[in-house]
Amino acid sequence: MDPSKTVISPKQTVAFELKEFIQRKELLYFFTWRNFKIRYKQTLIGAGWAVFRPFILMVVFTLAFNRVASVESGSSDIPYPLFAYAGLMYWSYFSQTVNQVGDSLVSYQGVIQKIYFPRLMIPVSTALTGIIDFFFAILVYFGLSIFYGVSPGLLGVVLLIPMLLLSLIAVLGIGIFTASLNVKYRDVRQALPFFIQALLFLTPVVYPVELVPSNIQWILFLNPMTGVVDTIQASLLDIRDVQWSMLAISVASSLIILIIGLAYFKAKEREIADII
Amino acid sequence: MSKQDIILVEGLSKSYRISHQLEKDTHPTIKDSIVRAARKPLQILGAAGGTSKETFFALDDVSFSVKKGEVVGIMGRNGSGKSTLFKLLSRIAQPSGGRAELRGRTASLLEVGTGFHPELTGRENIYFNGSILGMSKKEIDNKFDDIVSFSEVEKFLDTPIKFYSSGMKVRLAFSVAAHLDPEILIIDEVLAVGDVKFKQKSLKRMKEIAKSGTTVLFVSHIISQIEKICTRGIVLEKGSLVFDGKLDDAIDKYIELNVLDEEGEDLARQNNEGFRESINQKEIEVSLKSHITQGVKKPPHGQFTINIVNKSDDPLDSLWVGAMIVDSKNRNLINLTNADMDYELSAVKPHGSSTIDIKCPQLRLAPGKYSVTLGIRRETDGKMLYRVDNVDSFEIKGYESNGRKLKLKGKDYMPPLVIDYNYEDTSH
Repeated sequence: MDPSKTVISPKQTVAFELKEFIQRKELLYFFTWRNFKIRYKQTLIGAGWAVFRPFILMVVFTLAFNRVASVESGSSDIPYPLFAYAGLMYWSYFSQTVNQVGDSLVSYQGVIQKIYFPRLMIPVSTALTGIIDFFFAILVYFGLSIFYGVSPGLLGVVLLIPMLLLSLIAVLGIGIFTASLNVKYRDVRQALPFFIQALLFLTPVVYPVELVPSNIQWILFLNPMTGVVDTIQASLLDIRDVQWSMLAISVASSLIILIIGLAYFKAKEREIADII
Repeated sequence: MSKQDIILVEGLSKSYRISHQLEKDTHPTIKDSIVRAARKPLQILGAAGGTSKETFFALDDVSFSVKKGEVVGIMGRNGSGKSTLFKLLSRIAQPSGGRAELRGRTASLLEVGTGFHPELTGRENIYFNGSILGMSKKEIDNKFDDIVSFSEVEKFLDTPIKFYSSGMKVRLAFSVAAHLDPEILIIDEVLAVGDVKFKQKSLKRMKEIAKSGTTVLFVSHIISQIEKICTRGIVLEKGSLVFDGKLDDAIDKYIELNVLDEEGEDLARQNNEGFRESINQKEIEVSLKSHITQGVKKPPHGQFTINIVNKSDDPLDSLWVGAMIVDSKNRNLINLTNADMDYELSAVKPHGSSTIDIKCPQLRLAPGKYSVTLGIRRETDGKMLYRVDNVDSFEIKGYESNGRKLKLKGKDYMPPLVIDYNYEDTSH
């Protein structure tokens, strides 16, 4: 069969689309590169925003939770700001990126209506763009840990990337689902930032998970970001052992969300150019 | 399917649910609102009966095949389904039924410069645009110098394109597209861009591509463009294929179809109303002369020369100039505006004058008497500086189109047409 043969019919198979996505991986790179290039154009501090956001959140939460509400880091040796920042750098990636991914198909509608390419490239590249920001944020963490004289736990350093991947899966799952929904119902655009903001308080980012009664802790871990944040805080700050079984709940839940997101995207894909 | 067929289309259809169509329409016209109001009681009844689905076929069971190297023009009026066919073959939209097969590397161009971002430099935009059009990074690297020299923007390659003139942007965009090198090229009316010189250059490039053995599907309603490139024509009407064959016959069929129906006639009349005659004699003095050169064997050639004298102390810039050709029944048939041609007129100096030539190589009008309405507007504040009906008139005598007399089935008029024309201006 001719490798460049294209069949156009009402139904495209998943295998065909996957093959095409892989064939055009260079475009995925260009999309990510373009997103990053234009993100901080005409801003004063440029990529500094990537650092600024979690940093300011950390300062605010230190004042509000630690000083006013007397929430502690879960270990007397660990300064609260470092504890909060470790969680917030992942949370910032998640909340920023999931909102952008949710909006991505709509913001690229001009391109979607003019040319074909695997549509999935748009949400995926948007999710990848956020990772570049994340690496800037991580540098600040190491700066802070030197400042406070707390050396990072070895297991924590090893887990930095796997936890980023888990956050990426969570972002893709929720983001792809909402991006597809957003194509038809722009309500999503209004609701999603609000939902993510509310979710912050249901995620033990700025308080240790021990504050929640232990028999219902597992419910929190259905939120993939709970797994990410709890694991990183426990291991990077060497507070206690990682709760592997709880982490497994988060991994499983993130994969299920991703599958649901992809399935919904696939079901709606053919309508995108028609109704966007 | 024969071995030589490179494109095969079998029963391709696209249907929309009407309810979607209405939702999607964010700028409803008054006509739409009336249609909707009229339909509403029906919709309510329909919903009560349990069925609110109303299906509209934008493309209905279209089949054809194209051999390798053929250059096919796809013609049709607005709403005929030609844009839908384009979108299905370029995979922007998915069909509701039927299938199509494209046996070769395909590139489709609905517009030039898709994905151009104003903040990115010329160089960066070339890479992203090239990649989204289907080129690999290596290919873009190899063709980079050719693309740049064709576009004539070498000096500004590392400048964000928001500082480019609109002409420069279009040149850069077309240059990327012109170096795609596909086996199958599907293009929309992308040639109608840029200034006269660049338009000729890009048309020449399109001809080269067509001659090099690339299979081309050219979707357009500008006959003169199709005529220059294509060898075979397909005519669509109301979603169905009504003609497929030799180009000359296809063009005749298209012109016949174009005879106004009632709706079109209203539209033409509407276009011609709503403006009162107005002249601002303190600021501007305008004249128009039409020259029609006519033979028997081919459509007439028209040239309209407009002279603008600026009587004020300020330069006249960002002018919109539109000459409208109106038939004896006061129907506005052809609009010749510099805006539609993306042609920026140079400013008329204070107490200076400017001559504008509008050249129509093929003025495909039915025999009869016509007048010209001229309008000049300042784009910056939208102020109408000049608007006069019947500034000049001319007559078209009978002629042959493609070796045969134009037949219009007893009707004595032509539809509102989109024709090819050029704007040129000189200031003194």
